[in-house]
Amino acid sequence: MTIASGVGARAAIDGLDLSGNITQIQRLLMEAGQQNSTTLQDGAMRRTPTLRGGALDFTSLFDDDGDSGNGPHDQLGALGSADKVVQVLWSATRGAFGHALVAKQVSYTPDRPADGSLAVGVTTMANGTGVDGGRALTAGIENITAAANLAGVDWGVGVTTDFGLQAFLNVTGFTGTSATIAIEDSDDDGAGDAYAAVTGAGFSAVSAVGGQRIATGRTENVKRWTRLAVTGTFSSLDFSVLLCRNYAEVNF
Amino acid sequence: MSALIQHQRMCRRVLTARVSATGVCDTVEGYEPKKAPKRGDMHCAIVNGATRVVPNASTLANVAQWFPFTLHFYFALPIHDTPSEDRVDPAMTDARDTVMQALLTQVDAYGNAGVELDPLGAYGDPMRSEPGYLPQDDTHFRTESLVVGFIAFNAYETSRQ
Repeated sequence: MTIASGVGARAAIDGLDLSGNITQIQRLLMEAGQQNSTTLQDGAMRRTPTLRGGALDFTSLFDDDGDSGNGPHDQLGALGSADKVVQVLWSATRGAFGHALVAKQVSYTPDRPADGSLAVGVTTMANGTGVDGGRALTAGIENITAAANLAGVDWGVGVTTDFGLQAFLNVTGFTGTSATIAIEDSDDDGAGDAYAAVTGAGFSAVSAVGGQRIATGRTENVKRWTRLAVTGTFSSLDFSVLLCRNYAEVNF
Repeated sequence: MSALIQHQRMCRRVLTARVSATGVCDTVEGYEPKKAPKRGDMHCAIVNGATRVVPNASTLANVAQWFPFTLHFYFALPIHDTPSEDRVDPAMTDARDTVMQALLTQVDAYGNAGVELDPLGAYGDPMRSEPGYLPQDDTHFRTESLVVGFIAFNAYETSRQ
């Protein structure tokens, strides 16, 4: 077991890189609802799982991106009602653990105390699928300048699962025509078993900043090694992908 | 060269220029004087202070740093035909006040985005001024040390191996 701190983390929301803005994550809540199903004959509480839920609450520095109109203040300050793809990677190394959710943003709260500092509180709540945990297939928010197959991530000896996956993409910068990002897998990092596309694990082509969530079939096999295959015509792509492998049957 | 070093150098240049532009100092230097300032001159030396990392301004990917400069004002105490001693402290106060006002009307624009003056001590110590006396060679100087702190958000990037 290796204990680690939270230094060196990364985060993005719907194509906005907030790694240099978020000062604290107050709450990253992975929640499993429970129904009280205690009966007269029980001697202790009995509970039945209900629905997944979750939230991400954080504090950020105020940033108007030089009054560009596209900075964190503009985008998060507008609130809006659309879903946002929220992603936290606990380090910027490939294979790092992370969490992600599709969320509604609930609040944007600037706070200016007497000492003159300025911080903004943001709260979000998971919408539809709860908070997922997984591993980054990119090295943090990674920049590539041409189509490429990225290095593989080893999920561990003997790890092969048959319950599908979910994946979260954030594109925080793009210059070019379009890029298509797909997940491939292999038993042995391509040594004897060539990487091949995981069915249903390809993101829609991107030509601008933004976020996406995809999910494969619930019985899709995912092998030990996974990597990203990026195709398309572009000169710069800044992106992060979190792959959340299911180790048991899930229904969301 | 780290981002912080660039910020510190730029802040020092801008600070020196703004203090000079007030006109209250006859000389403004980036180091303690090696020779005693001329009697009758108001001299200002701008020197580095102790820096510190600021947790509540640091982000997931970056470390914020608070770094101060101390502005040492020197004025030789009068003898013989120089202005009377009663005018020394008001002169020091005027100089410090003029410099503070000039700095406080321009808390940002220190050359780089994400670097600004921190007058209220949001990330370190508030601006403060300490008067004193300095005996040097055969001269006594009235001094005033004005500490001004700066915050550099995103001074260093952090990552793991």
